[in-house]
Parts: sequence; structure tokens; C-alpha cells
Amino acid sequence: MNKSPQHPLHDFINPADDLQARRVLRDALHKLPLVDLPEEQQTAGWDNISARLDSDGSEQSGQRGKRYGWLRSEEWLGVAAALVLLVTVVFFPHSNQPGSSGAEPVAAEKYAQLQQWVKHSQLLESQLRSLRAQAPSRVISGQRALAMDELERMIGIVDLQIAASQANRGETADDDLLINERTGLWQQRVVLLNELLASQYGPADYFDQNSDDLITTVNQQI
Amino acid sequence: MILQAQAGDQGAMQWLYQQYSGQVFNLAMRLLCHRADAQDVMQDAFVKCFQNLHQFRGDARFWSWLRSIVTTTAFMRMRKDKRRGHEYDLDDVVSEPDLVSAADATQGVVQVELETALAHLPAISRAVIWLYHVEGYTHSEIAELTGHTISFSKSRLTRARRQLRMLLSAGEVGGNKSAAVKRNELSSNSGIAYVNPLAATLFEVNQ
Repeated sequence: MNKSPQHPLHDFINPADDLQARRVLRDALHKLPLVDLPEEQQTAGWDNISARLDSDGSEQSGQRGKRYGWLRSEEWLGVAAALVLLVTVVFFPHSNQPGSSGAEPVAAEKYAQLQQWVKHSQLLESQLRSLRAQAPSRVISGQRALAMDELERMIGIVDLQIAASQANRGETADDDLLINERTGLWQQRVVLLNELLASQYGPADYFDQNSDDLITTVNQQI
Repeated sequence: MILQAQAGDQGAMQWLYQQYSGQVFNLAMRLLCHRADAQDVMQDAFVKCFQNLHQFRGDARFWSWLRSIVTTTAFMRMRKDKRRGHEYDLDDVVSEPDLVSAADATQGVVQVELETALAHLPAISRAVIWLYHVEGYTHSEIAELTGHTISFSKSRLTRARRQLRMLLSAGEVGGNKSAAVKRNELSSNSGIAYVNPLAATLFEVNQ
């Protein structure tokens, strides 16, 4: 660490003052040029996006039935169970809150509830990471893998909605609405993560005759 | 234009894409350091953006909203690939990063070195550094995005800066312009990403 004091990153590499070191790093990162996206790739990118949007629009209803045609398998029970819970969460967002009395909680209480769901989600993520670290190459059936893929896709959709809600935070007049929305989304995330854990590391021994309908309903919701 | 896109006008969507694709690709590339994957993430993010455009509230900045979709999509990609044993282990060094900028002798040597060092950071470290220092994310937002705690975000940022410092101090920062330029030329001419074995070794020791 013997760079010249005149070097632009000297104060970051040899940090005498932590604040100054951070400032130097931040400035250097900001000065990095935009990564070049070649014009032909930009054009091809739009063609691809446009085709996907067209395809999604025209095939949405038909594809759903086809896509989940293979759902009638015991491997899908986990997903179906998650969807039952998810539908409950979507339609009765506060029904499983301890001490829920029907009265609207005050803002601080709502925020505390939101934080609880966030922490719960983090705990489940942590468990998932830990289990994956312990058994990274656990053998699972193809159908179970597909079910897990679908759960991860749904978690991804919830993540997107959380991110979108997060981006709106502080920039809308109705913060109460946003907290309610985010609480509901984090609840959904917890439900799905629980199911992902069960799908990946637990037995999948349940079956729900209504799984197709449930998935259709939930897809309409999210 | 956003209102038109929300109404399903593909011309308006294409205009938004043309306006923002550079920024989106740049962010994806900074997070993933892999050109092909960054293109995939860019396309996925735009598809999700247009499919969920009705959720966008006009009082938020469009780029803030789109950026959150891009970062979420990039993290989804990392998580999914991790489960499949892909190179993106969030805690491991990316084995074959693409150099971010095109070879350009006029580009500062410091920038080349900084980009090379960033490319050799573990994926999560690079993402935390970029999101915190460049995109202005808070630790709370990073925690939500990564599924970790706020204290994880803080400790990971500290660790990432330490790793970056070690990489920069061990590299040719300020000392060997020809080596940096040569490496860039090699990468752009051959299409093969440069791998710095010293950096990889450093991380094995440092983990």
C-alpha cells in the first residue's frame, strides 16, 4: 500500500481518514463511464422485448391452462398449499395477526407489523441459505424442481412488487396505503419462502385437487 | 409518454426503452459483470416493467421505479443461478468476469484498475458497493433487496471496501499503464475476459 500521494485513489487505498476514503471511492465510482450497449444489441433487445410482450398478451389465457397442465402431481402439493395460504393473505391480509381486533392499527403499529414480516422473511432466507450450504447437491425429482422454480418465480414477482412499492415510498401522499401494501407483500413472501423450504427440504406428501384453480386465482392477484 | 405506455402503446414503450436501455444495461453490468447476463437482465427487467407499468405511480421518478426492477431482477438472477451451481455464488469470486468498459487507451488507468478490481469482487460485495456508493441505496433498502439484515449490509460494505482496497493496492494502480492497456486490448480482441489470478488468490486468503 505504497501508492504515491498524488494518485487519485491514494486516500482510499491508504485510509487515514475513513470519511475521506469513502468520498474518494464514491467519486471514483461515479466517474466510471457508462457501459457501452452496442446499437445492434439495443435494437435486438427491443425486438425481443416486443415479441415477448406480444406473446404474453396473446397467449396469456391459453398458456395458463397449458402451463400448469402438469400440476396434477404430488410434487405440486407444496405449491398448492402455499397458494391456499397466499389467497388467504391476499383476501384477509390481517386475519392472522395476533391480537387483531378488527380496528385499524395506528401507523406505528402498522410499521412494526411490517418490520416483523420483513424480519421473518430474512430469517427464512437465512435458513434456506444455511440448508443449501449444508446440502448443496441434494437430489430432487424433476417435477419438484419445476415446482420450486415456480415458487421462486412467484417470489420474484412479489419481490418486484415490493421493489416497486419501495420506489414509491416517500413520494406519495398516502403512506398508510403503502405500508398496508408492503405488509401484504411481505406476508406473501413469507408464505412462499416457507413453502420453498418445505419443497426443497421437506416431504411433499400433500395434494390439492383445486391447485389449478388456485394458481389461476393467485396469478390474477399478483 | 409513460401514460401512453401504461395504456399499452408499444411506440411509447419503445421510446422508453430507447431512453433508458443504456442506464439499465449499465446498472445490470455493474452488478453482474457479465455482458450476456446483463443483456438478459435488461430484457427481463423491461418486460416486467411494461407488464407492471400500471403499478407505477406518476409521483415517483420513473428511473427510481425502473431501477428497483433492474436491481431486483439482477438479484433474482444471482439467486437462481446460485441454486443451479452457476458461477454467481453470492459469496464467491466471479470466476470469469467481463471487463466492463470497452478498451480505450484514453480511458484513465485508474478507471481500468478500478473496474478490474470491481469485477473480481464477490458478486454480493460488488453489488453492495455499487448500490450504496453510486445508486444511493440505504442499508435498509439493501437489506430488503438481498434478504439479509441491515447489519449484514453494513458489515458486507465494510468488508467489500477492504477487499477492493487490497485488490487495488496489489494491482498496477498508478504504476503500469502499458499492462492495463494491454490487458484491455487482449480482452477486446480475443473476446475472452481477463482473469487476474493474483486477485483470485487474494480473495481465497481474505475470505
